[in-house]
Amino acid sequence: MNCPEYLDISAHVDGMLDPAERLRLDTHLRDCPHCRRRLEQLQLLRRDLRALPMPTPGVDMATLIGQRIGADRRSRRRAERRFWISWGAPGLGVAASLAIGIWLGALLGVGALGAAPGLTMHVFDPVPPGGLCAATELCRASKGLQ
Amino acid sequence: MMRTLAHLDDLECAARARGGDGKAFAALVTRHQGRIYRFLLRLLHSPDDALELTQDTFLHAYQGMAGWRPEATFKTWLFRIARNLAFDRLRRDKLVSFVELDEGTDPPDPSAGPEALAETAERLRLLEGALQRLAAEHREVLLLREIEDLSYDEIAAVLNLNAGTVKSRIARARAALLAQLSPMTEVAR
Repeated sequence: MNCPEYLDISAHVDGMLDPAERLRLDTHLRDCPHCRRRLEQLQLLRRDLRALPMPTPGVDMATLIGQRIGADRRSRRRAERRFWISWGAPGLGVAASLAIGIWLGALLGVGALGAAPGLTMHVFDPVPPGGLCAATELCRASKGLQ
Repeated sequence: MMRTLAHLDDLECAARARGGDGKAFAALVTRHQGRIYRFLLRLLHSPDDALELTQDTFLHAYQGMAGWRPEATFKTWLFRIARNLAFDRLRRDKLVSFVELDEGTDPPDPSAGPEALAETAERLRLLEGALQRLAAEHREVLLLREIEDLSYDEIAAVLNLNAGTVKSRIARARAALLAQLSPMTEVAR
């Protein structure tokens, strides 16, 4: 007699055979005491496994986990606060300094550029700076004064 | 408040928990803590470790709620987290016996069964002991099938296996457990 594979008997216990497989196995079981014994062993094993004690944690897990989640959240918030205290204030100071520096630089730059056309040099001024002008008309003319 | 959530199924509670509803998550913890704890207890053999990893399982679940998809049931998702944490712990403590699970060969013939054990309490005590001596991969699949009553598809999702492998692994685990019980049966006679 060709006995079915052990895993088919196991699947039979779980009701996992399709109808054709199940019919074939049931037919075989009627004539095979060896396979019937295997099936009975597996059914007894299942019954005993399901009769094992069902231990419980004995504590309210929801409360414990709620506390751990709360503690986790608080420590994360503390870490964030520490980060801002350690790096936030100095960082803001540096950023503000940079911004002021750029603003002042831009201001001076624009001022300098704006003033540039007004700065004219009289390279060929006949009177040196601080010198006395001998002929007022000439000096006025050389400085563009009327 | 908890009472008002009792009528909601896992899917609805998980959806609320994803939206930040702490009460909904607490309801899920209350609902599943027993099965996760006893699964871990029998995998790890240590009440302290089982208690710690049960908490860790729910914390991981809480932190990963955004990644949970309703295609996987919340229960199988929890078992998957718990199982991974347990195997990490067993590996770390080198308590796991990684047997080569050759899914292709025939399992041993458990000819001498446990039926001769007369006293139920004694039989269950021996069964508990035999379960502890099984390879972790065999033990977990039996716990999920026989005690937690997960379907083959659910077990496949927890263990990341295909259903065919689950079917053969369950058969082999049962054969291994019966083989563990056989010598004791002889002694008990």
